[in-house]
Amino acid sequence: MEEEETLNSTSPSAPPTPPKLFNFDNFNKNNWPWISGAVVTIIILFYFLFTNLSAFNLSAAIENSQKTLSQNSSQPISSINNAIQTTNIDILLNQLDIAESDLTQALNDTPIDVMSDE
Amino acid sequence: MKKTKIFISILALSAILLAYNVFAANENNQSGSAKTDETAVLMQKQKTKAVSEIVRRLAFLNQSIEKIQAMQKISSEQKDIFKTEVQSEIDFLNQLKDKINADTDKTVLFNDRKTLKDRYNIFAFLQSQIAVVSYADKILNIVDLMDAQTTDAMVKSKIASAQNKAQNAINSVVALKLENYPKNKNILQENKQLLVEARKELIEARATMKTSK
Repeated sequence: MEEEETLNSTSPSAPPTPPKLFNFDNFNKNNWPWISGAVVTIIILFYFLFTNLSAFNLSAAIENSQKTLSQNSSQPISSINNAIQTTNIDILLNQLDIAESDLTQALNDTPIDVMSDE
Repeated sequence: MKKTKIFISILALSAILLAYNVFAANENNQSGSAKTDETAVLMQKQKTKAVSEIVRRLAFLNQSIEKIQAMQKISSEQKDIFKTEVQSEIDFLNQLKDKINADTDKTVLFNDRKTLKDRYNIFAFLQSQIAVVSYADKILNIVDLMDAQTTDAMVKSKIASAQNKAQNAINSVVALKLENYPKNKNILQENKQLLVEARKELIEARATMKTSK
């Protein structure tokens, strides 16, 4: 009975409002500049962190390649040429085989007997 | 009645004579066409053989042209002389090939085959001469490369010896005359031996260069 009375005591014109997930009442009143400032600051911090990090990596890569290039260029060109020529000499010496067998073949050549009537 | 019998006998005899003549003529014709067929087959075989020899020579001569073009230590004048000689032989052989293919008379074909046979010396001389010069030219190129890479006196002396041999081979072979072939074939063979020795010296010099590094 008491319960029934309690229920009947609430007016039908004002329906019960659901509880709010976030209560922005205080935010709207006093704290919004601080919270917005903090969020923006964090975003800016992250932005700088990422951009500087990638820039750092890029500069490190450039630095590395520059180092490699400078190392290569410090190697004397003549030594590279020598290496190429060394390979060439070995290849050319091997190719003398072909020249020699061509000459042997030329000196031992036998023609087809075109005068036989077979 | 007697006249009729004589007439019939003459008629029969004439018929027999006529039949015999016709038969004999037919026999002659048959043996004649058989002979013609045999000659045609034989000529075709001779042509095939001659053309094969021409094609073989042309292949070698075309290779010789490539060898001449690749030469680096031979004067351009000498290269032009070689090229002209080889090209003239190539042109001759091409013409002879066309002529042989078109020959219908066995005597003409015989003469063309004989020309091809007699012409062999020109081919053999040019082929051997250019092979010697090309081999020597390659040795001289290697000599230049190797000499620039060593200061070792022993190695240098071997390289110089190989150079002399290659240069002598070129000088000796270029001076040879086509009309003296095959009498001068032994000179070509001697020069081949010289080049084999030069090559051996270069290989030895190269081995020394590698071990001394």
